[in-house]
Amino acid sequence: MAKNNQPLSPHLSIYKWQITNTLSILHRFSGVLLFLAAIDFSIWLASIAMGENSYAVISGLSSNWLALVFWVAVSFSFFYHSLNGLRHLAWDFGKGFETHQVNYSGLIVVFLTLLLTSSFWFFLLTKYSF
Amino acid sequence: MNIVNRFLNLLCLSGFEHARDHWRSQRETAVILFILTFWFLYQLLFVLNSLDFIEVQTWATDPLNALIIVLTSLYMIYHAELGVQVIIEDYVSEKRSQLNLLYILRFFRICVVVTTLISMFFLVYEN
Repeated sequence: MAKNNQPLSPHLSIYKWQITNTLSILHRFSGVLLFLAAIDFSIWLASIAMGENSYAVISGLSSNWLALVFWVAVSFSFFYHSLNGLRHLAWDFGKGFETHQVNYSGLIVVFLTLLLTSSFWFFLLTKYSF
Repeated sequence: MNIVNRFLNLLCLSGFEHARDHWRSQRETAVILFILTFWFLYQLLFVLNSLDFIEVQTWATDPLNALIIVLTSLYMIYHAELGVQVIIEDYVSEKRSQLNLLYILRFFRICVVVTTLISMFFLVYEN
């Protein structure tokens, strides 16, 4: 018996995985990760305001491999969420709803995300020495 | 939704928005953030020469930079709250725990807003 009227769809156990629903849930995951990054951004700002020692502590926390994994994930999420957000904005204007269009725009977003994330890290690592 | 309301929303000085305003705010903040975050990316890649303390402090203390940094941080956490709110409302069906989670979310956002404003105020004021 259903306790409430919340919609249950999609029924994940029998749902066929496609590029559209994969990218849709990835939009949410990347959004949550960027939420954490936004909190971290304010901590970083506070560390700058509090002076050199606190800045060194916060920078030190970000210099191990676990933090690097986090920042690679954040940068990927950032580019993905930005590009997929453009897709969402197009949908809000009623454009691009045909099946071949959502599949095609989804593939473009994935391709551009990988391209931008890798070139971002290439530029970053050649510019700064960590 | 006039300009004063939007300003209050940005500073987290108003309650949770009506679904209609929520929808519109989410899209407005998205477009604004698209510009602000790519500005930040540009600064990181092409303006800053290192991430040393003095360099970063000088950069963040510049009044125009400071203003854009404050706006970026406030809009990021605003947009994030709107988004995570939808996720909570979608996946937590029990009304009581849904509301509790929304208050926890709001608490995080208030912390970020206060931290950002105080930090940037002292950063610009003291330098």
